[in-house]
Amino acid sequence: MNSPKRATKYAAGFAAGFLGILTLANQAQAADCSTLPSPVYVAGSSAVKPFVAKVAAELAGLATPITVVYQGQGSCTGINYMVASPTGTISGTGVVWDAATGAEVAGGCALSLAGDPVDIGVSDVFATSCPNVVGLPAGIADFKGPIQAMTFSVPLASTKQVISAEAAYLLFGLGADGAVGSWTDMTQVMARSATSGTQQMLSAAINVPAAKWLGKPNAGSGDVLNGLVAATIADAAIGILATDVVDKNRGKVRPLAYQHYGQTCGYTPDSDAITSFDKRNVRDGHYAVWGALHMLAKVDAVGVVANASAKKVIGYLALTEIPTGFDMIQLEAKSGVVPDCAMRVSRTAEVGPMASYMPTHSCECKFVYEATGVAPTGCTTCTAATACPASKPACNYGFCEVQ
Amino acid sequence: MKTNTRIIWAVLGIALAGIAAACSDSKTNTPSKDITVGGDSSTATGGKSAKGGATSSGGTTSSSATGGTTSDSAGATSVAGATGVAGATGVAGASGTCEDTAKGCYKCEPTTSAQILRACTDASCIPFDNKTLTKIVNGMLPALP
Repeated sequence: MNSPKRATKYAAGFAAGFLGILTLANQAQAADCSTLPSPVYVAGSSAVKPFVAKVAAELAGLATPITVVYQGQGSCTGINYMVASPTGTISGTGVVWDAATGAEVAGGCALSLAGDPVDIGVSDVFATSCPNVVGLPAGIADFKGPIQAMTFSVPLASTKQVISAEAAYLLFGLGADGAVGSWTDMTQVMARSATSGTQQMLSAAINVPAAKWLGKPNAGSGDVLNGLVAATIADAAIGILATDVVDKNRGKVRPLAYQHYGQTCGYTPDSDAITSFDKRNVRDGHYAVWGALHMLAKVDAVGVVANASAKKVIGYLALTEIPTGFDMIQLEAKSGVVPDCAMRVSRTAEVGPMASYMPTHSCECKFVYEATGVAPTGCTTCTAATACPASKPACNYGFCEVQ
Repeated sequence: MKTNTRIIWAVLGIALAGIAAACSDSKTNTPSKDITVGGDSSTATGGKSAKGGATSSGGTTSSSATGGTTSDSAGATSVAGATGVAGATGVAGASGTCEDTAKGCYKCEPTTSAQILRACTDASCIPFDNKTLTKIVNGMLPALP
């Protein structure tokens, strides 16, 4: 009588054992992360992964290579590693990228069993936006990277074009009871979690606390993307994604125009949601949901990043150090993020008030050229400031700029 | 005498045309046409009236409407309030003359967050008609559960 049950148990046991052996074999094949050239352990935002991938491939190809070992676990997890004392560690498998192909290395690399301390915690949001974080401890500093915009996105086949802050409040705050158009099946409304930077930033925009969001929770941005792609009724599906994820998947998903509180018209991050990558409405403040990438790292007594390789990575991303082996502004433009030097508005709090902004070393012309292939009207190329007109006297990154 | 009057009128005309051109500055909101708005199939027709009309929806969502939460959006929402903000910063007069009522946007150099959000632009935009949201009652968003 019991034999079929017993057979099933044996089969299940055998399968589990086999899978375990496979996993161990995989781990055995993966290189030890610590043996890779100048490893820098980066953990946090999953939304930023497509951008990190491109930067990591370039860093691995430098004359003195740096290996970015990455784990995407959500922005607030990255923050928590850095506010912990001692600094948190990651274990298991690290994601690494191939310098030649830019592709993710199959199997990644094996982190140490005891765990490797995180060098850079990456987050889409301010540390204090995360649950139970009141500030940064002494010895940890927050360096600002490129600007990320967060979006409400839909499958490409959806007929939806725009959402307002009020509609998003009702949808993610009240769920189906919010009665927002055809977004009533909450299994098709893709949220993340309270520790997600994407959700934290959008929650600050629409005034729904991140911990109160309704909708289907998803562990990472990749899961949200997959959920949108798998939707059988396109008009029923909506999800939250960062622009670097959306831009990499324009053939599958599309960002909605977003109409913030106080606005009377909705704007997409770019000039249009299909073909443009210029982030025009982010750069001039018409698209409200954006913020800088935060890179948290250990610093010495004078505020310098303690780990030399991590310092280089942060310097490149913050554009305080210009890499010689690759063009960072071009890379950012092609990755769906915006360097600070291309912004014309700034802010100092999570989706906080904006102010007009002119960076000290503007790169607007260069950014738009790299993002669209065409320099905007009024931008002229230069090799020296003497070639620039009085209205744009600075020659920055090959273009005349205001300063 | 007649000639002089004509010259004066001509000069005035040119001056007014110049002022008008300077003010328009090619910054116009141009909402896309024939688009589906939110969950409904309403169509934006031209956008100007939609924007003008939507002022009410902007006004509907104050910080108090969302349970007293304070954020940038609250400040931005009180676009009505934005006049007050402008007044507070000493550019109340500018606020009056800088408001493009026909296009529903702020046509001068923006200095506040609310003005940046509503600055006139030639970028295309798509209005969301908050009047389609039946859960907004008397201009108030319901409290969260």
